[in-house]
Parts: sequence; structure tokens; C-alpha cells
Amino acid sequence: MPGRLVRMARLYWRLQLVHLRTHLEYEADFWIGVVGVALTHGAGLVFVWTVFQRVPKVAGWTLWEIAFLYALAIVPRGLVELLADGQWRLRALVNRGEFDRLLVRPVSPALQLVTQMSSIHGFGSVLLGAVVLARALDHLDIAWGPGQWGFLALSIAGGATLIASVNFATNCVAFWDPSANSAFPFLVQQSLEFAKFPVSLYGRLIQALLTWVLPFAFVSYYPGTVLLGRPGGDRAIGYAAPLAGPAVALLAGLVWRRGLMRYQGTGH
Amino acid sequence: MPLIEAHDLTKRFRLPVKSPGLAGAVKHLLRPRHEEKLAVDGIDLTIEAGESVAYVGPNGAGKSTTVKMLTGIVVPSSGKVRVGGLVPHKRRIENARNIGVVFGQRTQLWWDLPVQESLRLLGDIYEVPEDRFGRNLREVTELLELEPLLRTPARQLSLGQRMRCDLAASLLHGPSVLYLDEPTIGLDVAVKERIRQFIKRVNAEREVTVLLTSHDLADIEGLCSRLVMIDKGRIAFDGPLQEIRERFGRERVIHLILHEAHPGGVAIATDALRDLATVAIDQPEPHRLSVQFDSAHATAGAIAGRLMGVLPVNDLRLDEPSIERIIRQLYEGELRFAEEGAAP
Amino acid sequence: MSDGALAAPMRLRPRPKYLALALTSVQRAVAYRGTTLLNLLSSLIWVAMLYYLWRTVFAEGARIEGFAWWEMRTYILVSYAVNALLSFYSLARMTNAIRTGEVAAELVRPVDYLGAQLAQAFGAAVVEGALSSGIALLLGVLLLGISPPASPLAALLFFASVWLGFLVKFLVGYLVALLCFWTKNAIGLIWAQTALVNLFSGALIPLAFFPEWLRALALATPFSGIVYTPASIYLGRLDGLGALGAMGMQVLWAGALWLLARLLWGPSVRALDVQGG
Repeated sequence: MPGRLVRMARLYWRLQLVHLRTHLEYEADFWIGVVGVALTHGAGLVFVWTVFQRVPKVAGWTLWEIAFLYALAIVPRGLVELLADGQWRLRALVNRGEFDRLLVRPVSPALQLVTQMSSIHGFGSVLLGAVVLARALDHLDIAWGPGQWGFLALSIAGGATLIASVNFATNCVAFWDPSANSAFPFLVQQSLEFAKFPVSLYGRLIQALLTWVLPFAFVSYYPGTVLLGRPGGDRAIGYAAPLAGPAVALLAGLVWRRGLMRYQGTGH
Repeated sequence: MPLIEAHDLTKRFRLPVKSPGLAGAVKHLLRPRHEEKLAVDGIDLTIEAGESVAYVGPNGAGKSTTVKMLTGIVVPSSGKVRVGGLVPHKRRIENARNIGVVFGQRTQLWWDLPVQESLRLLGDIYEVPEDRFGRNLREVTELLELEPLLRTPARQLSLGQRMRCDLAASLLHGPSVLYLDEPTIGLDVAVKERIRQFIKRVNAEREVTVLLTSHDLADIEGLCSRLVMIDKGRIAFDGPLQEIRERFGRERVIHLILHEAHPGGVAIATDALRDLATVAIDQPEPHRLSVQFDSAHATAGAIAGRLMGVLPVNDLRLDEPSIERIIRQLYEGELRFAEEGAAP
Repeated sequence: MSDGALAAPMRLRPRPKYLALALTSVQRAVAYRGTTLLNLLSSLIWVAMLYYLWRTVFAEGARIEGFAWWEMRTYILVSYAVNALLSFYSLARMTNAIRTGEVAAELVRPVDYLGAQLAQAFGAAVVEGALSSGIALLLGVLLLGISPPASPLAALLFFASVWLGFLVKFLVGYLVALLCFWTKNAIGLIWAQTALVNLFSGALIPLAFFPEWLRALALATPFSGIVYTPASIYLGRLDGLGALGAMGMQVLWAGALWLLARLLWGPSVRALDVQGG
């Protein structure tokens, strides 16, 4: 078992490295991607900043607290784009019958799928997010020590796992309806935008949705309230937030198994 | 023990029945209707190690479904299947280590990578030990003359070059079975021949069992000694290629070249062969005559002898039917297997 | 699908070619209505975010730059409906055609490329516009209580201004698509463009809320004509000469961008040969 995991990790590394190298060959494209995505998230930050030019606080949140959550939402997303973005190719693979190829190789097809693609622009999200995080920590007067660093790292890892797993599960729709277009997984992924702001701002229905159905609140809001030491929000949920990622990964695994079974049962 | 063994292998698909348009889609959503399609209908198939088998049939006959069951991609609805002692869909990954698969239209190389990088990655994926990897790589590189291609990204290869690299890629891990799906599709004649030679060699020297699906009958004649034909999900014929020729290829044609133009050739020949069961006599040019006959009822010798007595024959040639023509006729339904051996 | 091609009565008389292209595009948008709809829904996510955020800000009955809460709500929905014209997908279609080399097939046809692209974008925008206004109207009337246009004249000017804004947005997108003759990374370009358009067009925030210098910058770009001008006319914040002046700017920008697109066409097509498809 450990041997298998080591092998998977090694293969994953090899397969991902390939993308990185290809991307770096086209230098201009690399920078266009990085700048493009940084601008996208940057526009939202300018918006937030503009709002705070007008009011000192929004529902008790300061500019840098919101910037902190904002960064907490985009860093994991960037990591997923960089490290595990192949899910988005599933529909094309199934449609063109290329998914068969993954099944005749002696490696888990899930691993092969995840490593089908790496979106280098994720680098832009991570970079921008890291800068904003650092600036926010500078401006915020909060107790910060090794424990906080550790929890932050766990939250980011958990958030990335959660986002990747949700994408993975939604893209499995291709197994049931290979003609389906990309809009559904895309729509789900877009709801991650909600996580850029404190979910307490939204109505009850959206809050519940972001906690129980598309649990993106676990990416930024719940761990964020703990790190920022903000009152409100359930402490226990906050501390447990990094576990949401693995939990969703388990669910995604079940969806994948069902999908794979269906694929192998019906062909396509 | 045979390498590939299938018994009563069956695959049923459930297909949704949808009426066209938005209304149809809504109707299907509310009350889904399905119909069953029997893609593979209880086939028995045994292939020994080292054989090279052509698996043919018209489109939609169940060929690719069978191959998908043998490779573990599709789970059978019923029946038994074993490849190298393993049930492919239950031990898919272990089975994958023993097989090589070439899909003629889809490359397994990484699009943007130099070919050698793709081969190296495959070596990692299949966990090929260093010495064996080196040996296999040298061998396929030499045989397929890949040396000049190794540093080229797959996207820049021509179709023929890509197919050579794909073949190499499928053999690096030393599989005991090679599934070839239309390996020569879209290639020019010279490249086709080269690829056939290579596959033949792999089959003979490395004793790799080959299962080939192809519409290119030259592939089949050139590569395989056994032919399995599937039609409507059932096996319609399974036997040596030679047997096909004997069973369905009784029809022969003698071509005669006459010393001089002989306008009344057909009438003379018809008269001379009156008591022999000839099928048709034709005179395409004034000095050429062809006689089509059933070899079960007449011998070429008897016909040629009689004609040489009545016509100034310079030269003659006997046409045996090609497998190509027979299979084409089988596809088109001109020959029926049920007729085989029907008494004269 | 149908074997007997002539079984269905077929139109034999030709249509004007640009009209035909636009209609094909309408057909496509209708055929992929699921995608079209889901796209519109995904941009609703930001509408919801903006709505809740501003609701909190305006909770204490505040006014910002003369905006009251009801005006802000209206602004959010109107800018959503206007910005939905020419979606991400329409933009991506243009860049993809160039990136994949499909453009070569279009180049051999006897149509003007710019004109053909505009016709197709317009066709898609009609469907997207109908759907997005439908959604905005439904949400606005049922949930958010938005106000109607300031006056009948404002409504009229708004409608004209929306399509002028569409033209500007299309031309910006077209110019960016031309860049794809040189670069492979189309998606990065589309993002950069979308981000700039969202920020400086007023789709995210009324330009009036920007600090002085940023507002001046935004108003100096063609982007402000895409959302801010029509939305301001709708709300009656721009009327009379002010409205006409802003629309004049839209026209000027459209003309300038059109000219630029014409000028860049030659060098762009030459880049296609270099890339070799």
C-alpha cells in the first residue's frame, strides 16, 4: 500500500511536470495567462477597495479582513488550476472515445485524468493571493504564530482539495450525459466566487447552500473567522474546516466510481 | 491454456429512446423509455498464445464491443472472459500490464512532447525495469527506424510517422497481447506495408499474440492466419484464412490470350464447354477470353484443354479468388454462410 | 438526421449574407439554450454578491454619490442585463476560430471578416439579450423591486445606447481576437479583457463611486460606453444633452475602434501565414 502511494506520487509528479515544461516553452503565453487571471481577481479587489473608500466597515468587516478572505479563496483555486485541472478534459475524452486509453493503462484512471491538464494561469491566482495575504497580515493586528501558520497551510490544502474534488465530481456528469456541455461544472465552479466575501453577508438560503450543498464556505469563511479571531461563526466548524476537503474528496470518489461503473457498463 | 478465452460472452446496451426536439427531451425526462440492443450475442472465442487473428465484420457488428470487453474497458452483461488467466474487467489494471493497444485514429503520445519523452513516460506508467526498457526501446527504435523522430513533438509527425511511434509505444512494456484497431487507416501504401512487416515480425519473433480489427483486407491477408468474422453480434465464421478460400472461393477464372483477334470466341467456347458447368464466358477484347467456373464441378485443366483444342491460345492465367473479394461479398451479403457445402 | 433532404420544404431564394449569418447564430444560441442559460446564471452569481454587499452598505439609509438603495439595486440588474450581451462564449468563439486555424475556412468565403463576425455576434446577442432581460425583469419585479426607466425618452435612448455599447464591446473583443494571430493563449487574453471591461465599464461598480483619478481614467477608455452610459441613461442620471454627449462618445469610440480593426487586419492575417495554421 505505501509502495503504491509512493508510485502514484512519483507518477503524478512526472505527469504534471510535463505540462509545466510545455507551458514554459511559450513564454509570452505564460505571462498572458498569469496577468489575465491576476487582473480578473484584481478587478474584484479594486471593487472592494472602492467600496471601502466610501464606508469604513461592511457588516463589521474591515477592508483588510475581507482582503484576507478574498486571498484565502483564490490561493487554493490557483493551486487546483496548477496541480489538478485535468478533470475539465473528461467530457472531451469521453466524447471522442479517448477515455478508453486511460482504461487500458495499468494506472488509476483518476490519476491519469487529473494530470491531463495543468492551467498555468493558476500561478497568477496563487501569486496575487499570496501578496494580498501578506499585505493583509501586515495591516491586521492579530496574534500570529506557528500555530496560525500551520492552520493557514492546512486550510489552504483543505480548500484546494475541496475545490478539486467538487470540480472532479461535477465533471463526472460526462459519464451520464456525454453530450452535456461544460456549463454545469462551470456554473458550480463559478459559485466559488461567493467565497471571496464573508458568507455572513448573504441571505440565509445562499449561506446554507454554501455550507451544505456547495461547501465553498469551508474554503475561506470558516477557517478565516478562526484565523482572524472574529466573533460569530461557529468555532468548532472553523477549526474543523480543513477536514471538509477530504470529506468532499471521499464523496467525489464515490461519484467517480459510480460513473466509471456506468461507463464500463454501457460503453458510450 | 489458451491466452484469450471467451464463453457465451454477451453485451446488452440499454439505449434511451428519445423523440426529437424539446418536447421529446421533456417527455424522456418524465418517463424515460429505453430499448435494448444486443451488441454481442453469446460469442465463444479461443485464441492461443502466439496466434495472429483478424477480427472482422461490418460496422456495428459488435467488433469493438468485444475488444472493449477483452481489454476490460467494458463489463460484459453475461458470459465468461479470461485473458492470460485474468478476468479483464475485474483485474483491469493487471490485465493492462499484459496488453498493448493501438487505436489507429487516436494517438497515445503526448501531443506537445518529443516522442522520446512520451516513451519514457509510458515506461514509468508501465513500470518497465531499466534493462528491459532499454532493450525494448533499442529494438523498436531500430526496427521502426524511429531514431530521427525521437526528438520531434508528436504534433509535428506525419500520420505514418505517428503510427510507427504509436506502435513502439504499445510494445515498450513487452505485452503478450497486442490489440490493433485499424492500424493502417489513412496511411499510404508503402507505410502500410512497412507497418505490416513490423507487426508480422513482432508476432513471429516475440510471440506476441495479435488481435487485429481492420477494414483493410490487405492487412488481414498480410498479417493473419486466422479469421474471425462477426455479424449482428454473433460469430459468423471462425477458421484459418485458407479455409475461407476453400469454402467460399470455389469460383475460378481462366484468362486466355489468343494468338489473333477471334470475334466469335464466346460462341466457340460455349459450344466446347457445353457439358461443363461454367458460370460465365466473356470476351473483353477481340483477342482475350475469360471463363468463370465453379471448381467443384470442373477443373481448370479440363477447361483449358478443351479450349486449346478449338481456339488459338497463346497464353493463359488462372485467377484464384482473393480473400478480399470473398470478405467483401460476405459483407455485402452476396455469399451466405448457410449455403456452405450445399450439395451440387 | 433526415435522409430525404428535400422532404422538408426548403427555401431556394438566397438571403442577404450577413443576415443569414446572424440568423444562423440566433439558431445556434437557441439550440444551445441550456448553455446560454447556464452562462447567464453564472454571471448572476456576481449579481447576488453585489446585491448583498451593497444592501449591507446601504443598510443605514446612506446615499453614495447621490445613489439611494433603490437606484443601486436597479443599477445592479440593469448593468447585468446590458453586460450579458456578447457573452464570454461569443468572445471565445472568435478567438478560438483564430487560434485553431478554423479562420482559414472563413477567409476563403466571399464575406468581409469583420462584418461576418459582427453579424454572428449580433445574432447571439439578440438571444442572450432577450434571456438576460427576461431574467433581470423577473428578478427585478418579483424580488428586488427595481424601478422602470426614468422616462419614455430615457427608455428610447437607453435602448439605442445599449446597442452602441454592444458595438464597442464587440470591437474590443474583435481586436483582442486579432491578437490571437500572434499568441496561443487566448483564454488569458479573454480574461484580461473581461476584467478590464468589468472594472472600467461600470459593470462591477458605478464609475461615480471611483476616486476622482480612477473615474477620469475609466471615462477616458472606450469601456465606459459599454455599461455605464446606458445604465446612467436608464436611471435618468444622464439626460438631455448629457445623454446625447455620452452617446456621441460611444459613436466616436465605435468609429475609432472600427478603423483600428481595419488597420490591424492586414498585419494580423500575415501573421497567420507565419504560424502556419
